[in-house]
Parts: sequence; C-alpha cells; structure tokens
Amino acid sequence: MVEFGEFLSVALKDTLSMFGLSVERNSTIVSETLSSSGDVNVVIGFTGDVRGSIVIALPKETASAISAIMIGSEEINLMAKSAFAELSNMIAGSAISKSPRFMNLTPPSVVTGENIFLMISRVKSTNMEFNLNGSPLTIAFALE
Amino acid sequence: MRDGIYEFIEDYLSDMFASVTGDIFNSTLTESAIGLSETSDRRFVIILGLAGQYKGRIILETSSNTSDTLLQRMNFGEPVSTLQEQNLFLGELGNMVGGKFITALNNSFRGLELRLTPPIVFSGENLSVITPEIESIVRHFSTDCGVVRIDIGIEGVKPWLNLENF
Repeated sequence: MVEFGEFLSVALKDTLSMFGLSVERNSTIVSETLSSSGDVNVVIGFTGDVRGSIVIALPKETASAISAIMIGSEEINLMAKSAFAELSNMIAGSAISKSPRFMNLTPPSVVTGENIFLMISRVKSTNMEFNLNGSPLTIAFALE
Repeated sequence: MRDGIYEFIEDYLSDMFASVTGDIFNSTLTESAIGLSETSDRRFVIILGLAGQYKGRIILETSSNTSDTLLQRMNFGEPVSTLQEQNLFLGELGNMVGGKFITALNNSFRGLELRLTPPIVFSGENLSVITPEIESIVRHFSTDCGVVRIDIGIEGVKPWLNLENF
C-alpha cells in the first residue's frame, strides 16, 4: 500500500513536470474507507494481481490552473475534462509500470459537480495531499 | 467478436437488470423512453470499471428520491439515512448488476476475461460523468422505485457499427 503510494507520488511529479508544473507532497492519511470530494474527480480502476481504484480530486482552482496550461483555457469544458482524463491516465499508467504487480487499468471517467461526496471501498485506503503551485490536489487510492 | 459484444449487450441488458430488480427490489421493470429529469438535484452515480481483453465501464445513475426507495427495499423496509451508508448500499447494488452482467458476457465470449473493479459511488448536485473516447449504449429503465439510467461503454467498440436501431 505504502509502496504504491510512492509510485503514484513519483508518477504525479514526473507527469506534471512535463507541463512545467511542480508539486509537493503535504500529507498522507490512511483511513478505514476511501472517500474524497473535489469539484473535478478523475476515477481510474484497475484489475489484475490486485483490484482497486485511484481517484484524482481537484478543486476548481487547481483544475482551472492545470487546464490553462494544458489547453490554454481556464474553463472546465469538455476539452479540459478530456485533458484531465489523459493526464490521469498518464499518472496511473506510469505508477503501475513501476509496480512489480500486474495491473490492468480501466478507462478514466471524469466526474464533475457540486457538493460531491464519493466512496470507493470499505477497505483501508490512502489519501495523499499535494500542493500544486499553491493549489491543493488529492490522490486517493485503495487496493483490495 | 466486436460486433457481437454490443449486440449481446443490447439483447441482454434489459433481462439482466430485470433479474436484479426482481430479485432484490421485488420490482417490475419496463424500458423507459423518458430519461432522468434534467435538474440540478442531488443524484447518485455508480461507476464500475471493466478490464481484460477489452476495457470499459458501466455507469448506473439515479435520482436521490429513487435511490432512497431502492435502498429502503434493499434494507428490508428500513430507510438508509446517512450518506455513507447510502453509498455503501449503492456500491453493493453496483456489484450485483456488474457481476451478473460480466458473468454473462464472459460466459458468452470465451477469452474475453473481463474483470470488474470495485464500485465507486458518487453523490452530488449537477453531476456530470464523461469517459472520453468511449461510445456508449444508454438505456433508461422504469421501476416501481423510479427511473434508473444504465450506460455501458467498451473502449474501441463502436455501437453504431452493429446496431440496426441506433
């Protein structure tokens, strides 16, 4: 669990650095169930040697900052959502390529809305908080 | 095989969901021409990923009112009050629907070896879910409890190639 978190953390830093973005890890919280909330959430599942899910949760200001760099607009439109999905795919793909376990990723789904509450799993999960140029970004994952 | 998968989903989707709603909710099912109403009210969305020979996802979506009624039936008549409990129950519902669906698909297409990811349940207002680069089959089903939307998409498989009524 801890090891996979490290893979995700490195993958996030490597992938965002391609876009000139730097990210710092703030805290890691292990909780009994995986829950998260952000205005923009990208969900990627995986099967294989282990089953689980990764959620990359962004508040609006972080999503707008990434969107401005990736597609040149701060508006969270369809193109921005597609860009978030691709970015998340790159991060998850990079993380599982570092893992010694075989994992098969599902296509990313982007969920947006207001007052979002999400729950993935009853199993213990890890929430990693990052600081992206002053804006928060969370990666939550659970392995079953 | 690609064409066959979507034909199978088209034929099987209604029977599969009718079986789950009949077993769990003691509810009859009809396919509905009317979708979920376009409101900003709180909705529940269950996402299940599929991975194996192909990749995809199943999305179940329902209104808060329909969800309350469904969950009360699942919980032997007792209301499910907290958001956390509601999400857990809906996750189980997703597992039931996804499990039935994927078992039938794997049994009908040998070598497909699709596996389900754990269900992810979202609730929120003005919810929007997109999966880029995936074409979906979307159906609305009317139950005694209300309307449920099912959206199934598999990467690289185009439904319009093989659906006469698309």
